[in-house]
Amino acid sequence: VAELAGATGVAGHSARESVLRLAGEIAVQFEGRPTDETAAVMAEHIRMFWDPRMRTALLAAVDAGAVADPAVLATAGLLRR
Amino acid sequence: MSLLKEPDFGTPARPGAATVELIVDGMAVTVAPGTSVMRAAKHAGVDIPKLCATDSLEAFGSCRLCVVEIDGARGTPASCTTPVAPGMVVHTQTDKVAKLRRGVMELYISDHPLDCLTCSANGDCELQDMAGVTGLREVRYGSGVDAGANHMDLLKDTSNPYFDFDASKCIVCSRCVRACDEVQGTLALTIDGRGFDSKVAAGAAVPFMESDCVSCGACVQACPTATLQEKTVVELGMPTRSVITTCAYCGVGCSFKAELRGDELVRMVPYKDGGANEGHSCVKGRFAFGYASHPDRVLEPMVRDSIADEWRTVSWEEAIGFTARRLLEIQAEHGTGSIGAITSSRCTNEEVYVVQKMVRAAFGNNNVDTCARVCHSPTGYGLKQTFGTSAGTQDFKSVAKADVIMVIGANPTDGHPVFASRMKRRLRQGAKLIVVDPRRIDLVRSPHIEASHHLALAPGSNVAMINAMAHVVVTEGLLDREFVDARCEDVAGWESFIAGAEHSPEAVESITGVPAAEVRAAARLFAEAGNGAIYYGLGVTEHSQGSTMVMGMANLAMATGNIGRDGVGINPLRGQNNVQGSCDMGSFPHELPGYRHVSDDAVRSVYEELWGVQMLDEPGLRIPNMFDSALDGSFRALFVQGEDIAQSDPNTKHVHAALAALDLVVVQDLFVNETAKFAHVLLPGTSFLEKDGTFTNAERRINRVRPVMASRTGKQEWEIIAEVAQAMGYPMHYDNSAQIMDEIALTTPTFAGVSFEHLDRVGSVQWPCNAAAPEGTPIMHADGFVRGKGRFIQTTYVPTKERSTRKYPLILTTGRILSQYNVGAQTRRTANVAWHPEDVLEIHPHDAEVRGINDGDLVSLASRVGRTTLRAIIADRMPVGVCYTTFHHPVTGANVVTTDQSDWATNCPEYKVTAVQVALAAGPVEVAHGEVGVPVRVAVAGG
Repeated sequence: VAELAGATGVAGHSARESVLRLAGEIAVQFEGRPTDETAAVMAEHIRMFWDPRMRTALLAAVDAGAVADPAVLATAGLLRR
Repeated sequence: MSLLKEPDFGTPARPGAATVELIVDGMAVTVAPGTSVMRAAKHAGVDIPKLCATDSLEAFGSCRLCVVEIDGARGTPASCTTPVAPGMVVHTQTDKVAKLRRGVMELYISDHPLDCLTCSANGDCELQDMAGVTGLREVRYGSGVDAGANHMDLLKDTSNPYFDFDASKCIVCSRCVRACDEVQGTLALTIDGRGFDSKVAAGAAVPFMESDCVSCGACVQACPTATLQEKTVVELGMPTRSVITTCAYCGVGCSFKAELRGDELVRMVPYKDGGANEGHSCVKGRFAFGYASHPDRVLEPMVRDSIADEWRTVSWEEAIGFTARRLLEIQAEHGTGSIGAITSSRCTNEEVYVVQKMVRAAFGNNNVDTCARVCHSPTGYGLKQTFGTSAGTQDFKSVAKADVIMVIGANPTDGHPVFASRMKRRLRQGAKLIVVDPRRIDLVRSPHIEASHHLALAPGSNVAMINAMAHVVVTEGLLDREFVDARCEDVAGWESFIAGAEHSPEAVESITGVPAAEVRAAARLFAEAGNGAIYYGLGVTEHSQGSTMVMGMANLAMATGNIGRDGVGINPLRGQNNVQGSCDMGSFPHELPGYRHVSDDAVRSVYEELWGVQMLDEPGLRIPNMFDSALDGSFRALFVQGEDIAQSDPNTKHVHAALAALDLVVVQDLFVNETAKFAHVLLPGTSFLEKDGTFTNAERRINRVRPVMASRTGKQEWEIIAEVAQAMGYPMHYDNSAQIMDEIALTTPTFAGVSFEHLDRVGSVQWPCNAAAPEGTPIMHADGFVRGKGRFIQTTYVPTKERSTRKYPLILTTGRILSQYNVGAQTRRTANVAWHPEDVLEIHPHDAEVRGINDGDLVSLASRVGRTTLRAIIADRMPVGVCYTTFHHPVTGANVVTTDQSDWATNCPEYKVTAVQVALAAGPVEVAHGEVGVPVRVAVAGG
């Protein structure tokens, strides 16, 4: 008998929250490598697999100061080129 | 087509060239060494009478009906057990053997009911046939009940929902027992007693349903009389015609003869010439087809303006017009990218192809994804990165040449049972087995099979484990240097990476929970195997590092030189019948058919020219991104082909909220499924029995799906898609599905040689099928990888963010069971519910005891995102701290508790790792209301 979560559920997480989570998860796969190397791989991956509106959401989050991860920030820089 | 009866050669074929010449009844014939005289005679056109022999089983030599005379040989040897010899002269029809055969038949008939005219096997009974062949005219001992002591009062066992066992008609030929042993590998049947008391028994002489029988039906197929008989044959009579088609359940893709009387399907009989299954089947494919005629089928289109409204049954014209109008209105208001579609791995290649074409040509975007997103998308990513294409490397037959088989995160005896039978046959012959799985799956220890190593790793530690195995290979000098130097790139960097001490079995023991010595021993066994083959399932892919693990396995296979020949390889066991095909057909938002990226101008121009449209060069939304964008408001309409995302996708609450937020949901399905509760249009689909097209199985085998009966809705699904596209203003028309395959072949290099005509002629082909390989490609990467050189990729282990805590101290993994299939939409509407009427939670005795849980108790299963209630089963095959359930029943809704964690590269959900708490359910279960305005889908208080 299934029951949905209460107020603590995550039904409402947004596209922005998702892209931030995804970007962080990609970055952590390359942790320990030089930031520019990681950023190059991430930017290529995002161009290959992400819908443009997801990229836009990521860049907007960066612009809003919601990103601290250096690799993600460097990736955003590459994506803007 | 009339009823197809395949020739039975009596004993199995032997490998090798035909070099032994002999004479049978005056005719010369040449066969391979080791061939039986019986089989050689059949090749010469001579049928030798037989009862205990059939060519799916090794010779047994018990019935003595196949005796022959051989020049220079003493006596009358059984032709089934006598191998041919050069120059042998065989006589199959002499007075001496004729007399012997009649004597044997007299004995059989003296203990057999003479009710042939009313017997369910009348016309399909080998005993009846042999009575005629041997010229039996009298039975000196009497017959039937007048013949003294007999077995004719034995009771019929009707416990199995699909077949009866009438012991009174049994001739104790042992074909059923041998089929269970040799073909299925379950060994559930035996001959109980000796001499006159000998009789077939299931288990310890219990009813079939109480035994270990898995209802594969191999015994029914092997039985030469009416002893083991399908209930449908008993009820409906013998079929009169056959249509060869392909099963629509798992990714094995078995070929079947659908046998009918008129337009009524009587039974499904596995096809001996089927490349995937070679005459075998499982309980689903053989028996569970009743859903196609279930009264729940929706046969007329329905629409409604709001999901709060009642459905209105409408004409096809109105439904298609409504769909097209709403899609265009939404695009006009919210933009081209505001709509999209999900293709189905249960539909044909042709049906999937037209959906992605509709999206790209009529919708004008790349918002198309497929249910492979939530199962094998990491396979696509990982194998493309390392090998260059998204596909398993072998054919199923290859396993017969494997020396060591490593099964990772797969449970073939439940999920891919017909392939499991092949695998078990090889294991009984002596191949070694390594199982990498948290659970002690059945394969770990079953009759005549025991894994050399069961690496019962902690959920979520796959990458640490595969890295540790590769570390052993590299640091202990087990690398196949010649292979990697000649065939691979980025070797040195990877070697240096993997040799790091942090990857040693000792270093990761605290992560995997597996003793380092055991990992080292398993790695050595695999590396020194000769032929080492990896088979894997969703226990690999459905993790936050699913793609990394696929690449890790590819690394290991390359490092040990186990790619490019028979008996080796990386083999994804695909979940649904056409997962491979739906991916091949361009269902991913970043790829056109044939795994070619949408940014490739040359590829895109092929379609732009043919389709007459400009196409986007940027990827579209993946399924999870569609849900997120629906909640953000930029994605407003979804066309769902044959999938039940409301039940199958993780974090049900999130999925339901997204579906409820959409302005338009169009569902094309057989039933009003869970997703249809959010739908505005329901376009009735066709069952596999009505489809005309192709499926592509896990070994890249393209098989024909032929219409067994007319579409019950009056339309093929591809017709409906084409009509929606047309109604949206994009001209799309095909006269038949063969034309769609012709278009696929025209535009997709790996399918260039495929056509219905070619498939009808050769049976099936494995892609690539083109001018270079007109008969297909059973083994990939034989001379070089698709991408040129195999690429080693450094696979850093990153733990999942989903962690057990004091509040959620257990880890839940989910999976499926033999008798049910995915969300159960099909199998729940068959008698298969007899085996699995509800989803249950398997939990280790220790975890149960500390919670006061007894076997059969109702328990609450809660995660950070949801809670459900189900029955607990105490199972010591679970490790401490890990529990398991299936997701076949919507009332349980296992995905209420699974989370949004996903694979970093593909967004494939992490179904296999959810932190949960389990507790005794407190009293009757309350009814829970969804928070997003959807119908309540909670029921029953148990117990």
